[in-house]
Amino acid sequence: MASKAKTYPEIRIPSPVTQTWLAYKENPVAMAALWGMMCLLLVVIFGPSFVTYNPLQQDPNALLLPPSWVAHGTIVHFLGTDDLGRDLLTRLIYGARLTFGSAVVATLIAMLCGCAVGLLAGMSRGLKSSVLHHMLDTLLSIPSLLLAIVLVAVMGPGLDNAALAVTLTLTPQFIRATYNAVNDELQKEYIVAVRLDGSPPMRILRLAILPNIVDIIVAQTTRALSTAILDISAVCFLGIGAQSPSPEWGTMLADGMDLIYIGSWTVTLPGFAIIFSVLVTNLVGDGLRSALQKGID
Amino acid sequence: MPLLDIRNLTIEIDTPQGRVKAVDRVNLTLNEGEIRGLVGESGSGKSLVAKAIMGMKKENWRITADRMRINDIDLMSLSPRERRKVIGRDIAMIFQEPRSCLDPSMPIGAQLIEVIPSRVFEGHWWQRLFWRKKHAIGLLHRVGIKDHKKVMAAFPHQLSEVVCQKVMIAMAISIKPRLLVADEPISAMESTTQAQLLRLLDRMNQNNNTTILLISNDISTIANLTETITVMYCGQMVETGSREQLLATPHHPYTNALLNAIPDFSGRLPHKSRLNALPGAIPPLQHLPIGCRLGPRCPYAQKLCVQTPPITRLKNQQYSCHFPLNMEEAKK
Amino acid sequence: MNAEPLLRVTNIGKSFIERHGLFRKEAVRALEQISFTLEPGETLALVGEAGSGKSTLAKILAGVVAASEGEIRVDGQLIAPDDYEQRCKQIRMIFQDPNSSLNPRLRIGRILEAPLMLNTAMTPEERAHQVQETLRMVGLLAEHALFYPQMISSGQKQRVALARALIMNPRIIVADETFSMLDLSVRSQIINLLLKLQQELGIAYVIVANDLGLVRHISDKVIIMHQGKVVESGETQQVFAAPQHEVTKRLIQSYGHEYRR
Repeated sequence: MASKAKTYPEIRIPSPVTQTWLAYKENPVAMAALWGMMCLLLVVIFGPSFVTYNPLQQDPNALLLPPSWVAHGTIVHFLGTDDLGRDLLTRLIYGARLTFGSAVVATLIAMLCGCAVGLLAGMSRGLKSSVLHHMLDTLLSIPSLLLAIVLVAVMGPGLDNAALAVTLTLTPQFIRATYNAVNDELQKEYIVAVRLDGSPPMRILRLAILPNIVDIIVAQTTRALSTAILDISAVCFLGIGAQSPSPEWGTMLADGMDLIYIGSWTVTLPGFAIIFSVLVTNLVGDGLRSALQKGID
Repeated sequence: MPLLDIRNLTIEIDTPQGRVKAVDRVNLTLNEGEIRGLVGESGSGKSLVAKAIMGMKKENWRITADRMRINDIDLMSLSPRERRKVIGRDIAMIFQEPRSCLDPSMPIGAQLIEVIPSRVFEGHWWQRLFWRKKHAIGLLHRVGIKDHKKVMAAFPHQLSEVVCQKVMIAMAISIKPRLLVADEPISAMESTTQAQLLRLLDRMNQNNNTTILLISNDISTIANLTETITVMYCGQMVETGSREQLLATPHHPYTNALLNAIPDFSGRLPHKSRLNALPGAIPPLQHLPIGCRLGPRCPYAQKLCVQTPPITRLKNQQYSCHFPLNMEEAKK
Repeated sequence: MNAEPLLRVTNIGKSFIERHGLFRKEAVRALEQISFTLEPGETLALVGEAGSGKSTLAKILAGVVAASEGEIRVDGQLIAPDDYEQRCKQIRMIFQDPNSSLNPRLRIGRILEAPLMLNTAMTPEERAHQVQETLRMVGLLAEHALFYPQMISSGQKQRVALARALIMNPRIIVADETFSMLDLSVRSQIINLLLKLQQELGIAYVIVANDLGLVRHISDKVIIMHQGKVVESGETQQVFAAPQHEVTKRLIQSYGHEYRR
């Protein structure tokens, strides 16, 4: 077959992945969002090694400096400083790792656990299936923020506890979504067909079910990621997540609340950072979902 | 004066690959009280024609026609609002999957009563009480549903496909339409129920003088119900003629192929012999061949066929083919 | 009874258990006990109204659902309900809707290769060769192996579905309403293909069909079913020439209704 394709070079059939990518590229908004997300990820990974200041380093000579484009600003502190003279750009870059980074990790862990349980539940039948499926259902009924507060109250405040709480609240959603997707998929005739070919369940799962529920998992993941960003910064804003000197975006927002009239940039800049990351996540998710749909049609 | 008169109806659809002519210059003239068969395979544009008549237009369609008249009203010159009014008064349509056309959360009776317009009320003012319900029961009786109590109280999923289709027909005739457009009403059904519905349509036609445009993908199932038949292929009209003409002497190779594609019950063909099949597949709309669209699949195609054949009229039978079949020798 | 027939079905039956509420159960008979035999190169048609159990019978033969009782023997060998490896070398199925029976995420080559990979010890080259051969046999090109199912027309998809059934060189092919979804001109192509393959390879078909004209044309034997029971069976020509049972008469009468040409 491969030799045939070489004889006729005009026969080049793109795989679904390529097709998805082609469809994705067509969408300019989604592409812009993808660039934004890549920048964000780069900042998360490499940002701290490029900054000159320490996020906790206080400079008594540069208290509440406005951003550089305002009249009194200096280029030395590009985005200005806060009331203790800490450089805001540095803090935001470190904060990206804390907020966005921990949200990504929390979502990934929730996705792995949730999808694994969901797949197991979807592939099994009867009592086992419903036990697995409904395992974490109680968590679904509690608002995630409330659950985070309760967990933090039990385990003590801290960013890691907040992230753990968010992971716990996201997992049942993944279980639900995956279970439903697998169940829908099992009704399809091509599953029956491969079963008649004598496929073992694991092979059906790998070749027939997984590729066909990827779009649902992707959609769920992006939704979960934006929830995670919002929840983590909200918990930290309430003062029960990362504690005060930490450059977590939500904590920074809370710290800056007192200064909103004299140094509004200490509030708006972390706020923009949160909005930007949530927006970018949602746009990438939307673009990906429609591109995946186009990939099959 | 024909009831429905369409000249050169063209429907173009904007697709990501550019604009395609899904229906190309179709003529359709229906006289009052006639049953017309519109036959074609998938992608032939027969449903698009029906939708164009009904004014069910999508964003990316462009409908043009030299003439499109119902009675003496020119549909093309009306505003969408006026057009809806005319169509709502004179035309009714039934669809292929009746169960999906009915509201699943409402009993049949309520749905039927809802569509009965006030203008069909006849009688004195004191008879107005409950007249819609009585009228609905009457409609159900007319489509051959005797057990009206049970059907009116039932939800669509509790009824069989054929009863649902009868209810759809009852709804359609409740407005006393002059034209009934039936878009593949029997395609998804079994032969026992097909016969029932065809009989019902026939009775509608004879008792109420309803004109029917019957769309189907299978020419032989509906042939004897119709008076004239139009065959379409890939958006082009290939042949039109009276039933006798078309069945006895099809001039277009496509009509001929449709008639011979499926063995009938008479057992005329030798057992397990090969059927007369056109080679190839129906081309997708984006890759239509130029000229006669049947060209690449036609067993009689010649060089000339890359030009679109003109519509030729011969004894009331119209065909568009350069090399027609079954011609008498007298013709040059 | 000198030799064992190709397919011998003995007392196959199926009942479902329907639950009403928490404790009440009710057994519903979908298929009464039924037996028949089939020889190589023969076609058996299952005819009946909706809910007559003809589809259930076809599915039991193909192994989609397990029978409640009875046994299926091919060449005298018992086929266990869950022994897919043995079954798929003997009996293969073509589904009703080619649009939903092919995995949209896999290349056609991969789809066709799957049964070979799972049930034979062929090398990858042999498998590729077999895939190409089978594609040619059903009138497609070897290059179609590289396509994804949604890129080809539904007639071609049905050919791929047929290729998937043929690739294991089965003795029997079960076709459940395979023709009703297809367009007329494509339908006759597929029928011609089936007839040709039967002549060349001596495959036996079990078809479920509604179109009596078609059944009369391609089948040797027919079983008329009604509400899970066999009401009449025998040689197709005889049954249709002189129907005995009410149901058969009604089917024939409504098929040849006054509006049909």
